[in-house]
Amino acid sequence: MSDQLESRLRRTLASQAERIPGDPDPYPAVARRIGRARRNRRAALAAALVAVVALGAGVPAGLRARDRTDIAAVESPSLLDWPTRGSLAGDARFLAGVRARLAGSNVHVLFAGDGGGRRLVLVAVGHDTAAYGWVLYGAAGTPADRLEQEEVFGPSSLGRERAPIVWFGPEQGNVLLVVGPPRMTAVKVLSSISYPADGTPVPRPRVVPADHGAVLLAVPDARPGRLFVKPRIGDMYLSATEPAWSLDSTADPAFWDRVDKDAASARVVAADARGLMHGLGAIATPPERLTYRFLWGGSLGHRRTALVATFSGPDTPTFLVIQTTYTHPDGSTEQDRLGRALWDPEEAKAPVGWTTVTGEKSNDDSAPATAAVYVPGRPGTRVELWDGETRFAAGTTGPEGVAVFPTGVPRSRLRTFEYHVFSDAGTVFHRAELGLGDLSTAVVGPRDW
Amino acid sequence: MSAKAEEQFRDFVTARWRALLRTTYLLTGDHGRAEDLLQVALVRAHRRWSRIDDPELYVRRIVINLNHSWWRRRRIAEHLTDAPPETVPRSVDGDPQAGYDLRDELWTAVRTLPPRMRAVLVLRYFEDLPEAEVARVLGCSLGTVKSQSSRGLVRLRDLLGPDSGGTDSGGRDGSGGNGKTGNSDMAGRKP
Repeated sequence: MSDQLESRLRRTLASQAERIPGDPDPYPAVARRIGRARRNRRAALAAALVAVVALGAGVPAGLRARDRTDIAAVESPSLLDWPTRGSLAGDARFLAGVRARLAGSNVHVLFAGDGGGRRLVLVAVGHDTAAYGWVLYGAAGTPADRLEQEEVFGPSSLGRERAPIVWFGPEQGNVLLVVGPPRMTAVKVLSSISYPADGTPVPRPRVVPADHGAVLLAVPDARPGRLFVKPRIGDMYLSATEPAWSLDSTADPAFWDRVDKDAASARVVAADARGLMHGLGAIATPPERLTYRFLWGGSLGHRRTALVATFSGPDTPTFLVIQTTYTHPDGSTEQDRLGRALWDPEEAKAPVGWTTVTGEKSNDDSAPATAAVYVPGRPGTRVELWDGETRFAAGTTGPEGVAVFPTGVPRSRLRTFEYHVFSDAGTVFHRAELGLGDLSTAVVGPRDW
Repeated sequence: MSAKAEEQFRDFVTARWRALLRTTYLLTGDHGRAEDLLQVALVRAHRRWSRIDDPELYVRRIVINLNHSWWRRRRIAEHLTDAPPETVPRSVDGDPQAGYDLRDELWTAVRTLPPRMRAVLVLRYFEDLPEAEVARVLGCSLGTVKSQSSRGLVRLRDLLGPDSGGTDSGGRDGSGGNGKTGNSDMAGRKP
């Protein structure tokens, strides 16, 4: 390869790196993160101790011993010991072609087969301490030496990994390949979510039986950020895995210019708008494919800003989204994003209330939360918070139509409170719960499917 | 951690933050994720601070592995990017905009590379690490570094097309472009 390209590469990387601004004191943000990790570890340890104590106290000794045996039986061999699965597992000539192509190392063919009009081969190369995984793919019937190739994992000690391997090919007829230990009996595939009128997403998974621990199928309705897989090992489903997507999406400066202009016209800080678009892209689709509208952006006081917007992606409903940003004294920021699907996009014109714990010592639902209510175009409007039959607080919207209530109430409880918005005549014209949940759940649904 | 060790950790973070962040950004292509990833790596380094001989090597390794794990889980976001450069880089041919276009094009191509391959190129061509040191950081063989580097450059040239200015002269290090190296654990080659 030419020195010219190497020189260009050096200049390009240096030029890109120059874009990163300096931070005179990055330590406070790191220290906060250390504190949060420490608290999480303690909480996990406490939970584990509680579980151990409960097991020890409530289960007869004989049963505990049998349980240990069962747990050992559930364990699967290293993936390097998994057998070859798939319709081509018995095709010695084809498998020899795969091994010849990857000559020079230990080659373990985990899967080889045709399905959905495609040919897929999953190979682990290496040993327990340094293994790589490759998928070879092409049209059904393609010889081994003419298949395309893509790395799926590696390196280091992944040879000891026992979790099923999930690969999805959006450019290969949307084929999904899941290869696990032979004890993998089925796979739940979630590619469809419905959004009833109340905005609560309902996952619609389907169960696909595994053939000796392998599944190969086409998922025509799969969309980026909305395809999840749960393998079942024995009688237990593992947590959801989201297959990687190889999508081509290059930055479109014209799109980001439009974002800046739209943000300015809605008096939204451009950085907040861009941050929101990136955040949305990470859960649904590249930002350039989103349809969006900024409704309001402004200060909530106490170093907090908020942004209210709607967005939709290809084949998604419209979502109402509220992003709250807290800026620490050292300049670092933290955000939370809440949202829900809108049955009728016109609902976005109605008042909306939400909670936030940004800037608090903890970000979990037990942290004392602040409530905010945005009443579009209505400054000076009376707003009340109600805890059941008890009026908890009252306030008036500011010049931009926002009322803010620092409550000291844990977020999980504050979400059950109602907010009441009053007309000039003194009657309630809008009431709803402060129950807006996190945006990720609003888009992809709950995880317990 | 003792007060002295905490002080050393703080000094390390303060002194090396920007350099590590720049490298992390080149690996991820996203400023926000780079900050997040580097913070996670530093949290892990903090936990083992008294047992780490070479903190910079340790943090780099964690960053690279975390990025690879993240990429496996959610490759979609790999293509997201921060704002385009606000400054126009200098150009050798006197046309500043031409320099900008070429670098932007090359950066776009770099961002399409698989994470390990990109890591090799970043460590070789941004950090200017010798191949042996790249192998040490990545915890792989020298042959793997050579083949990944060579294949990465070949792929960049392919992505940039015939006007990229590169000529197909084979691997500079003699390893060739097909990745068939003697001691590589990967040893895969494209047909």
